[in-house]
Amino acid sequence: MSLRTLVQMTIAQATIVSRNVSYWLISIFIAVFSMAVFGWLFNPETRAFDLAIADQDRSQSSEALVQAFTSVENADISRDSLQKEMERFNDGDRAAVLVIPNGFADRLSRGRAAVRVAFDNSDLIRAGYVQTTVNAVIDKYNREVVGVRDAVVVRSQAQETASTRFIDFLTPGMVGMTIMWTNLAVGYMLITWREQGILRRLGVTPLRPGALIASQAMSFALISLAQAVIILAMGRLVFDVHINGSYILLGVTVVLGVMAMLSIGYVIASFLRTITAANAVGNLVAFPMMFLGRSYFPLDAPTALQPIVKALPLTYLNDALRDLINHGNGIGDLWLDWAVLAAWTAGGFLLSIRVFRWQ
Amino acid sequence: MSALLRAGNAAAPSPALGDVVLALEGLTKRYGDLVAVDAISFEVQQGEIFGILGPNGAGKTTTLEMIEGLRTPDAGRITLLGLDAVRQRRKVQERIGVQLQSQALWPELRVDETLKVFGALFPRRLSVDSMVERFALAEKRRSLVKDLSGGQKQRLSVATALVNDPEVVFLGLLALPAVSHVRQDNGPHTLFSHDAAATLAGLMDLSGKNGAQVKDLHVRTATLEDVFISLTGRRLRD
Ligand SMILES: Nc1ncnc2c1ncn2[C@@H]1O[C@H](COP(=O)(O)OP(=O)(O)OP(=O)(O)O)[C@@H](O)[C@H]1O
Ligand SMILES: [Mg+2]
Repeated sequence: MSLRTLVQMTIAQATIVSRNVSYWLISIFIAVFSMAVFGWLFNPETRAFDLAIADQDRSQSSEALVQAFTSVENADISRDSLQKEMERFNDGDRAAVLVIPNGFADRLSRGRAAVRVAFDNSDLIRAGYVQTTVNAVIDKYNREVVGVRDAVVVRSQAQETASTRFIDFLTPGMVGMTIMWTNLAVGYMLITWREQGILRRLGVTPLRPGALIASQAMSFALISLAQAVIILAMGRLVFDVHINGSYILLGVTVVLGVMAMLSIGYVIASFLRTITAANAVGNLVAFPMMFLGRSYFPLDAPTALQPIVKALPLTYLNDALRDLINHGNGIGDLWLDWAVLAAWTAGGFLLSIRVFRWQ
Repeated sequence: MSALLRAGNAAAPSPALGDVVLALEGLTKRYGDLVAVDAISFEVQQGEIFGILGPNGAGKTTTLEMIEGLRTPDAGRITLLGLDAVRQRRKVQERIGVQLQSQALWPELRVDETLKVFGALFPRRLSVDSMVERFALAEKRRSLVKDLSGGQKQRLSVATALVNDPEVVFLGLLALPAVSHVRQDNGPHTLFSHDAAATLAGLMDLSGKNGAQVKDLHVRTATLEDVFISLTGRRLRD
């Protein structure tokens, strides 16, 4: 297989896919639509939540801060002792508990004070907008009441996911989901080519199946990298979703995800003959995988489904993307995800090279 | 029972005229109990137009597809351009041009992009410029394939089969005017077809050219009736 063949086949196929606008745009559209829905629709302005405030300082300053929260329309404020509110919080009756500690006014007068906030992380969507709301109110208090930026800082208490807004959680999942849809569709494309006689046509040239598959993998990797850039740029610009990890590791993860999904697409194309069948099976694979693979929710599937969740390549792709984008993790946390994706790739490609037919 | 129809061009300039380009020996293909191609043997010489005609289901397409490398024979040998067409399939495919029955083009690519990518599949290729010129597609070179007319698509399809400057050309169902493009350039191609219309067009084009005459018309292993049936789909007695 010559380099020229590989390069020209890659260019041609990337061109074909990019000119089939609906092909790559639909999955991006679903991703962007989902981000808009969860980023805006479920934002702090629209859903009420229970916020407990334990004012241990009982000063003028702390009272002013409590007032600032009382004026927030969608927060139902309750004020009780810290102990009682924590009990309710642990029962799941409070979305968050804000503690204004003793000596708050003192410290504020010296320039810097802190409040503590405990978030209930069991509902990530709620945790996201509760945190956004608390931060917004404190910012406003700093600006309008104290007149000093960062005079009051928030110490979040829920660990691990405390900094994860739902949109932060969702964005990597949308990248993973888009990679899945775009690349599974290679099966659909191959069957269309077979029906149009294009595979037979290529079969009477010296092109090897391996070269076709390699060039296809490269063109789909290019397309998917572009899709990931679009989604992540939208996340950054519109929803302020930060990429904490390395771009290189992110690129590698995307490419490994592309390969794993392509290999499934090839298996579909190898065993099915008609476009309708490929569509049906493709959807049958993609829809459950989209949800079970944790694209949208940190869902804990029923134990019966856990083995499936643990086997799905999308689970590992999404996990690696979140490790990178949300937590800025390094290779130490990625290698298992990468290994599973590579295993899917190897298995799928070996199987489809064995059963591949030009016609 | 197939008819093998052949014509040689007496005035063809190639010194290699008369060389055996393709030889089949006992070529056989079975589909389960059905023997689709039954130990068929023949030779085709350089510069010949060779038509293989016969009733539907006679095994013409199967024979051609074995030669082109799309199907593996159950028995027999195919020697094409001095190579074993089964075991040295890709080496053979580098030097032949195949126009299949369907146009088999990517609708989303432009004319020039199509010729470029097909050319890149071969170690040797003719320039995109010369191909669009020769197939009267220069004005359309930046058009998408899906926006071409039927005849233009047909010409492009033949052009992709000739982009590697093949020594032997295999023609499927084909619009008649395209055949003259096939034989336009200097060296005589060996033209091989299992389509009656394409074979006739090749013969007519050949006999129409200055000094060229149909030298030879063999009908083998078949009665004229078989040929007639394949040309018209009717029986002589009807
Ligand atoms: N893939 C296949 N599986 C089983 N039988 C097949 C297959 N392909 C062809 N055949 C059978 O083999 C025989 C020869 O078919 P072939 O297509 O070579 O005929 P043909 O001479 O090209 O006919 P036509 O003039 O109709 O094109 C037919 O009886 C056909 O039904
Ligand atoms: Mg046929």
